[in-house]
Amino acid sequence: MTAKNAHLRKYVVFGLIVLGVWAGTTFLKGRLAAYPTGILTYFCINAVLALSWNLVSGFTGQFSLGHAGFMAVGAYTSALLMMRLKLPFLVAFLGGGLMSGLVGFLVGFPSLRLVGDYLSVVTLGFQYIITAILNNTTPLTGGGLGLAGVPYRTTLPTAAVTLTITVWVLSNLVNSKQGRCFVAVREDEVAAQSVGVDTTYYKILAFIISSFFAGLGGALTGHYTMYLHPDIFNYLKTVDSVSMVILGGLGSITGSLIGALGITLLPEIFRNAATVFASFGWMAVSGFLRRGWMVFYAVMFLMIMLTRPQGLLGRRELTWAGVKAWVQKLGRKGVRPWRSSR
Amino acid sequence: MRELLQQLWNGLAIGSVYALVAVGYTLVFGVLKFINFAHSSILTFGAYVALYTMLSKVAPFPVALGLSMVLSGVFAMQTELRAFRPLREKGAPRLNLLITSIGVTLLVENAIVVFVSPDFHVFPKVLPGTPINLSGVVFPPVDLLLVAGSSILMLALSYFVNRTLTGLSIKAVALDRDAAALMGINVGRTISITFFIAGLMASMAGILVGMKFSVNPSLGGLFGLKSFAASVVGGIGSVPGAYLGGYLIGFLETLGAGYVSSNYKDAIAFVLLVLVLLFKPSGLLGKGTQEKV
Repeated sequence: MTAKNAHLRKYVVFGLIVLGVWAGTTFLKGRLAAYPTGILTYFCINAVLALSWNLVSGFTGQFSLGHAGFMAVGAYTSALLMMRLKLPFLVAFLGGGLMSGLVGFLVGFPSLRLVGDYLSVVTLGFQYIITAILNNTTPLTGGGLGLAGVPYRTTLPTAAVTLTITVWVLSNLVNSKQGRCFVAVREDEVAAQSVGVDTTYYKILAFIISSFFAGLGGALTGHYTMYLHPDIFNYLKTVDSVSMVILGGLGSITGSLIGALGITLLPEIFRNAATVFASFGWMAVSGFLRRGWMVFYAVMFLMIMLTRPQGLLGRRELTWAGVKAWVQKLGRKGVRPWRSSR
Repeated sequence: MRELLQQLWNGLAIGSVYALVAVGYTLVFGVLKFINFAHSSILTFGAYVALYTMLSKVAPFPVALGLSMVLSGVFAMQTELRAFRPLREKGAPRLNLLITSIGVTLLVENAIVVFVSPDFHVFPKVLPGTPINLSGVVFPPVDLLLVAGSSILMLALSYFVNRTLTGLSIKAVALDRDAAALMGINVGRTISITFFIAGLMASMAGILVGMKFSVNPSLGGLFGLKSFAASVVGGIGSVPGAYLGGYLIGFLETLGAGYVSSNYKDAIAFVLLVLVLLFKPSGLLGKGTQEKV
């Protein structure tokens, strides 16, 4: 088989996967109730956001804290393109991502030329600037009143296909030459530079791609909730993406998916447990679960960092072969996998 | 003229807050070379300790202030001992330190929301008297305390860092940790003391900001961030730089809000930060550093 054929086959397979995901989720949407459909949709959106944060921080090692700002740019751009210019969804959606990528370049350029953690502060400041701008451009964005009537477009299939494409693009990217350069920057910037890696270029490239996908995630959020407000995109939204990535593994794509699933389910588990306890009449327990999950979340965040700083999967990927080998090892060594895993 | 003087005074007052917090970022960055995002939560913590001491009426204000400063210092020291030191000893990448410091902030804020209260609190009136009015320029008592208190703390810190043995050891650790250890300096203890001092100063800033505005769980967020911008503008690692950056941002912010537009007041600090990073990345008073292998 020639190289050209291999390429073609890769695209065909990918096209089939996207079609399969589309068909599967459309089927699911028809069968499932609104609540699980909603959770699945949120999972897809969160996973896109986690993956985009993982690219710049997990793979390239640059700490970005302005994720919520890029989500806001994507969400508002996409919503306004549809509402004011009457553009079709797909154009507006991609427009949101591109705008966010452009802003990513403007933010990344002054801070990523430098070695150090300046990016984290500049991005965090950027998020406050975006909030200030959105709050003060009332005629266009609705300002502090929020933007109501954003068209509903984020169905489960839309979100799932976006996630599939994101996973495909990012996993190809991190295994390409560019991806190796990202990892080289993370591991040792000076060493990377000395073997000829243009570190500034790759840091900015990673940041722009990450901003693009964060913008797409934001646009999905906007077209799902149908209402936008500058304060939705606060610092805690960024922290959500950070927790998904550190739960799953810094620098692991499948890890981000697992982390996104965990963090999406966590508040739902607490909420449902609170309802169950309330139905038994244990109001004190129920009330604590309802409020206390925020503390649990913070404690979990810290415990992961202190006990397993690389996250559940670390930099490894979960693959079928890996799972199969693990199951076989379980079979060989008997019952206690957690002892024998070393 | 009267209005300008008033704006300058307001800038001085708020600049004192930024300077007090910025110096904490700079000191910790000096010894550990990482941005301690948890520093802003120390500010919130200090404000709450003082607030609840005052509300329970067990002690007069000076005692509450002292108690809060000491407790915040100890709290800052504990965050380092329990969270950052184990990571450092494991040799974890700096990214993990940054993420952990975010986690500490998250824990403090969420614990206050869940176990104390999510509301905004007005600080009990502790300072006597009405604002002093000098031919139209108003000096509220809180501002006077703010400017006086922060000046005293800053002078004390300068004396401590430049004239005492413990203070000099902080400078030595900042310059070269390994060499300092070889010269017989107890590096671990020095780092603890640095965190204690940073916590002390942040707590003072937190209490006075709480008195000036109000006390709420996310009090530290924006103030902490602008103060960090101040320490980078002044040159991170440099104590006089942190003061300069703090006052500079304080003045620019109040003048900008007074004469240009108050809508973008919060953005001024970050615009200044980006400009400094573009044109003089080591900050106004910082020394350029060489990348070492």
